Amino acid sequence: MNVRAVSRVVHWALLVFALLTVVSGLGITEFRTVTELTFGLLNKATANRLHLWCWIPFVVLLVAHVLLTARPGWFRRGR
Amino acid sequence: MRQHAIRRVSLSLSFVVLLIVTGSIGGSTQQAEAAPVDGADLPPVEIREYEGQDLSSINDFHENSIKGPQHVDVSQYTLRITGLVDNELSYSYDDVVNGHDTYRKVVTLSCVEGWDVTLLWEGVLVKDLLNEAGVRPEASIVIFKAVDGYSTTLPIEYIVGNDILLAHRMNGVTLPPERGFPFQLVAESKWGYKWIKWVTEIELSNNPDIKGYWEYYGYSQSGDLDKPTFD
Repeated sequence: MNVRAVSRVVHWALLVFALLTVVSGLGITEFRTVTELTFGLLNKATANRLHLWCWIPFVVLLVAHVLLTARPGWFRRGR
Repeated sequence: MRQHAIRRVSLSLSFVVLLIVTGSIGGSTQQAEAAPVDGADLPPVEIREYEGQDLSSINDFHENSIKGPQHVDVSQYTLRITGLVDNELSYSYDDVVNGHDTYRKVVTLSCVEGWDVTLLWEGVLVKDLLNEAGVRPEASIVIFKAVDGYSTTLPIEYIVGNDILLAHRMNGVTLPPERGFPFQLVAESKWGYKWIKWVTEIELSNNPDIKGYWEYYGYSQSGDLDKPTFD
């Protein structure tokens, strides 16, 4: 897998985790609305669990995203 | 040309002066209207410091009840003590507030959402109510139920051993509807979801597996602040 493919995976994964972090956060603070909108799938307890779990991969992916975007040369041979 | 410019400037200045005068007259009128007619008409003011300790405001809470604020009609309200007791009791609001000793303490409510508030709570001891009903020896769990269907459970040793309050005032003010009027449990050292509002029933049980509303969805049964949030 080359650097470009890894970057693409990291960028998309970061987007997913960023959305999960935001949605789960809203699922805690605005749980009545979010629970209703998700037909009970994302209740406050589930959102809280998800939010507590999400932040580690989110931070890791964010750092990777920044490094891959700001310093792509570090990860490429021959540059 | 120059005279025309001067006239325009002076006209503009006159307009500004007129606005200021009108505004000040309007302000005076407002002040006159806001003057108190009778001290008894003033709304109650919460205290923000108690024995040298700064207190949060009643308005610092985040509204996070399961069905929104409940408006309880105090004339229809009853607090029931049921389950494993010798005498099932039913109190009116006045029975609870005026028929029992009132205690006060400063306690911090910490919410799983990440905010907290420190207030002066005043209320009656839950154990006083339980003693009047006569708790049977086999009872080990106290189930609190609210007008909106919310519920939570706590061990009876915790309720009795920590002098847990059923509060009817916070920061010197009667609980507002959105804060749990008529009664909110002051479950000190427990997460906020144990601080049930709009309490209508206290049931004694010997079943430790009974879960409250949020406990059913996985929040810790004990609700201890120093333990994991989830079971």
